[in-house]
Amino acid sequence: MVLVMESLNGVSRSFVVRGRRISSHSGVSADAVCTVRFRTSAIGARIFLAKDAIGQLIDGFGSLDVECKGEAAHVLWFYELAMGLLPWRRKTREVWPQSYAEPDLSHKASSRIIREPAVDILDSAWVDAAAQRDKLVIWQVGQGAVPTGKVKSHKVVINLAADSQDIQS
Amino acid sequence: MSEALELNKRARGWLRFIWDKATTEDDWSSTGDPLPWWDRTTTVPMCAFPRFDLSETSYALPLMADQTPAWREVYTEIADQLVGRYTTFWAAIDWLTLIGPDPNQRNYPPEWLVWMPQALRGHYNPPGWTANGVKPWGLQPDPIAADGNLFFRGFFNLLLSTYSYVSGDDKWERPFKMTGYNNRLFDWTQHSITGFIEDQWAERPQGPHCENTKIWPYCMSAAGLSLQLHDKVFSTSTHWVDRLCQEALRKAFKRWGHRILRLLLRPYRENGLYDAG
Repeated sequence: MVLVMESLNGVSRSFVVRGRRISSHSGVSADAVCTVRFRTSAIGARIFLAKDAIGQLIDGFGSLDVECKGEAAHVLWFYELAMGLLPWRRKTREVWPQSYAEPDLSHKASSRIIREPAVDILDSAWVDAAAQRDKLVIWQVGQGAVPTGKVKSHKVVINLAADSQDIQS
Repeated sequence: MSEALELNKRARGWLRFIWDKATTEDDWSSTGDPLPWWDRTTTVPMCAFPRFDLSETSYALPLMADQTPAWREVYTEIADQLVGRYTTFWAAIDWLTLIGPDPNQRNYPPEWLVWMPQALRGHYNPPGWTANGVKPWGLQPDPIAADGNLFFRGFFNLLLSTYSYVSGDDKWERPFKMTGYNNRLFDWTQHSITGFIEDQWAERPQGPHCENTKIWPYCMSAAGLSLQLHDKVFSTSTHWVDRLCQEALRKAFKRWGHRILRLLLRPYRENGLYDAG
C-alpha cells in the first residue's frame, strides 16, 4: 500500500507499507491508494506538526489548502500510526481495573459469582457432558478432524502454515 | 393513504421456517441433541455453538411484529421457544464443557491461528475455548453469573428483551431455572440478568470477558443493545454503562463537529443556499 504526500510547490514523498514495514522514497507513485496534496509544503508541515492535526486537515479540505485523492481514511490511519512511533506523542499506558486480572469481591456483580476451586478438566463423572463435547467442532478439530469448508488456497493460510509448523516442531 | 402492513412472500416463507424450527420439539439437555437445523458449525471456532442460532433467529421478530402486529401470538410463541432453549445445557455447552486450559492448543489449523497473536500460537486457548475453571477465577458453575461468558448473557438478554418487545408478556420476568455445571440449576429473571450485566460493566468499563481473558467488541455491542432494548421496553436506565464510549463520541464531536459541519455545508454556502454567518 502506498500513500503519497506532496505539495504544489514541488515537494513529494511516497510512503510504502508492506509486510508490517514502512519505507519511503521521494517522488509520487501512480498506484497510491491515497494522495494528499498541500498548497505549499509549509502548510503541510504546519498541519502535521500541529497538536490537532486531524482537525486542521479537515479545515484544510474546506479551505482548499489540502486536497485528497483516494480514500481519506488511509491518511487518518497513517497519521495515528506515525504519531504512535514518536516517543513524545505516545500515549501513556492505561491501567485497567484489577478485576480484569483477578476477582475483585468488593464489587456488586463480582461478589454474586459462585467461585469454586480451579480445575483443569471436565468432571470425569459427568459422562453425558463429555459425550456432548465430542460433538463440538472446536473439540473435533482439536482432536485432528479437518474443519468443514476449509479454505486451502487462502493467502493468509499459506503464510501461516510455516508459523504453525514452527510451533509444533 | 397508509402503506399496507404485510410481509412479502419471501418474509412469510422465512417466518414459516422459523416457526417450524422453533416449535418442533427437540432435546437440548445434556442427554439430548438439538435437531440438525440448529446451526452449530458457522463461524468457527468462536461461534460454532447452537445458541447463536437462537439469538440470530430472533432478529427478524421485532421487524415482523412491527409490520404485522396482529400476528403477535405467532411471534410470541417463536420467541418463547427460543428463550426456553437458551436456558438449557446445549445453550451453555461451551462454558459447561470446555473446562480448564485447552489440551489441544497445538493442534489447530492455520486458519484458526489467525485469531491469535503470532507469538502465542500453539500455546494459547483459541477463541471459542471458554476455559471455565482456570485460575484465578476458578470453576464458575452458573453460566450467567460468571467473570467471563459475557457473550452468553449479553445475547440472552437481547433475546429476552426481544421476547418482551414482541409479546408484551411478563413470563420471563418471573423466576426461571438456568442449567449450570453438572446440571445444577440457578434461579434468574430477565431483570436480574439485566442488573448483573449493568453492575458488571460498571466494574469493568472496557467490558467483561467472553472466553476467559478475551473481550470482544462484537459481543459487547450485543450486550449494550440488550440493555438499550430493555430500557426502551421497561423505561429503565441501564444503558448508561457504555458511557465511556458515548463520552468519547461527544468529545470528538465537540472538538471537530463544527469543522465537519462546515465542510459538509460548503457546497450549499458556495451556491448561496446557506449562509453560515
